[in-house]
Amino acid sequence: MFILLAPFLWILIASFRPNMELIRNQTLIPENITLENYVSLFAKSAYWKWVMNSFIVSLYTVILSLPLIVAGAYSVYRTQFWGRNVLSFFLLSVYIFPTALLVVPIFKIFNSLSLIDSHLGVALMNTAFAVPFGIWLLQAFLRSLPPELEEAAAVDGISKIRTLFQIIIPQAAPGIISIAMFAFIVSWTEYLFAMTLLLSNDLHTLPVGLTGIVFGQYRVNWGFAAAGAVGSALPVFILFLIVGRWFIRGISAGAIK
Amino acid sequence: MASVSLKNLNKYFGNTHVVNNVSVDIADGEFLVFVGPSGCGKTTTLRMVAGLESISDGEIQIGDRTVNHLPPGARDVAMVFQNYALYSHMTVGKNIGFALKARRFDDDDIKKRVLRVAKMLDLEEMLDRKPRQLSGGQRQRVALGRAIVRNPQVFLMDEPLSNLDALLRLQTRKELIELTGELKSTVIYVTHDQVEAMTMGHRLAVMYEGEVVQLDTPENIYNQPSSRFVAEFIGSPPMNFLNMEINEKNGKKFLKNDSLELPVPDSMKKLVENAVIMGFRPNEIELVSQGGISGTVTVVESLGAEKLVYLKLGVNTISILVPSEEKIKSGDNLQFNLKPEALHLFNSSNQRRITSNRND
Repeated sequence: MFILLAPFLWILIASFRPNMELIRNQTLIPENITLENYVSLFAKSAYWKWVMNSFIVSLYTVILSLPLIVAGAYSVYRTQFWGRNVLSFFLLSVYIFPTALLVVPIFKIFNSLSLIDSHLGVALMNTAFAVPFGIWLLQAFLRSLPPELEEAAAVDGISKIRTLFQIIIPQAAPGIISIAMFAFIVSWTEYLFAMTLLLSNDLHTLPVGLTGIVFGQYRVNWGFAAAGAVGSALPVFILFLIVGRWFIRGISAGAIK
Repeated sequence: MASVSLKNLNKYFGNTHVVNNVSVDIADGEFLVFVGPSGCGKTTTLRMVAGLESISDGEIQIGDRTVNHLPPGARDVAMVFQNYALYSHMTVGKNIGFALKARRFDDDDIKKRVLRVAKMLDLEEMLDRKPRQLSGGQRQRVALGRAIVRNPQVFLMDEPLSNLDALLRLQTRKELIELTGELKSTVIYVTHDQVEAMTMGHRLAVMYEGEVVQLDTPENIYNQPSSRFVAEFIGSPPMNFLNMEINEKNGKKFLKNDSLELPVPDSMKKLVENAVIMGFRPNEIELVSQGGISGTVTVVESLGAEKLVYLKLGVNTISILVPSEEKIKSGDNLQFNLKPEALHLFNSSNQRRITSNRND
């Protein structure tokens, strides 16, 4: 537990220390406590703008990827079609390629599609990376549902589409919500494509915006970096606190104990 | 309600022949039970009737329609699953009414039908609850309600009682018999529990290794099991079996092994075999104080009203049921008689029943 939390703790402490002190000594106990890092993050940088941009990109990603993941997982898992096994085998192969290799061709393609400098473009890219793993996760979850649910529906004469929307999706809701969270985080922390595909400063996401400041021309501002890290984790943390609570209420609704 | 006819039904999973030439005609309003050990093909047969498994060969008719190629929803059957398959995100009322809603019944009609079924099953108070909030027995009734509300031609039930505890199972069994009787339903019921099969079925189809080995009323199957397998499977505690030689002395035939000798019953005079398997049920013996077959008691199990006593007869061990008043302890010597009519004889090689009126 300590090993797991130690880096986070260090970042948290560092974010309250002046930058010079961080460069001078590496001790864990701070000599001076300061809010200057947070002041420059919240008040002097475009932090709120970046949060908003990141949020938009992440939301787009979730909205784009969920239908694809649900449809993909359901079809890979429950229907028979030609090439199904090959498809599910190669599903995760997109992750083989180093993403850096893709930057140039993707830039060219997106340029011709006028998707450069647009949040939607980045979200599309993030979707491409979230979907295969999402399908893989969700089909494992679907497998855990009793097949009798669908069989009961089939015997009762309920159409496949209705079964998917009114039985499978509600039953798989906990799994779908965790996958939505996953897609959100993938997008929230994504740097490479956000960096290359978003040209205007106005559109930058949190990771891109922060690095721009942290790595100043001549020196690295570690205190600010730490504050930035806390500042970028915080919105997600709060969001999950809300969603997580609702999520737990969802699955325990109507439970006896 | 309708009759169901299975004609030479076959099912292969790859090279495994799981259902082998099953032919059964189920009358309108009949309660037919497929019973057999696990893996005997009974559930697969039921699933073929439901349309959840494809048919490798043969024909299924419901009423006068051949349903081989109809999807499950078009066969007008309702199925109750072992794990109930309730939609846990819907209330009891919605669970029961869901199939009707999908068939675009209007809301008032659905409400009326759901309420009527709920009354029948004593679920009125539960309609707004989620399945999670119900006991096992109540969930079972919801699953039943979901089937009844559609008023289908045939009910298919796949071990619907096996997830209930013993007491509840007894009670639900009785309710199910009453309910299906009132509704005059055609029911195809699958179970591995021979007691359940005996008590519920109008007729039983005993299955073994993919084949129906006997199809008859519970009484006939109990009294005249067609093979050693059926004799052992139906009836509790199970029948005793002893390998016997047939000897002839002074023109009379005797069944003989290392520890006992019995005259062949008069009805079996035409016996041609040299050796048979002799079976008798533990409850069909008569304790005597002397002159009977004698054995040594090894284990005594008290069942309440009766005692199940294991007796060593030479190299064999058999079990007998005696009234619990009998004071018997292990090591005692017991003597008993076997009535001729209690004996079942089976062919040693093919294990089939040797009938009295044989002419081969």
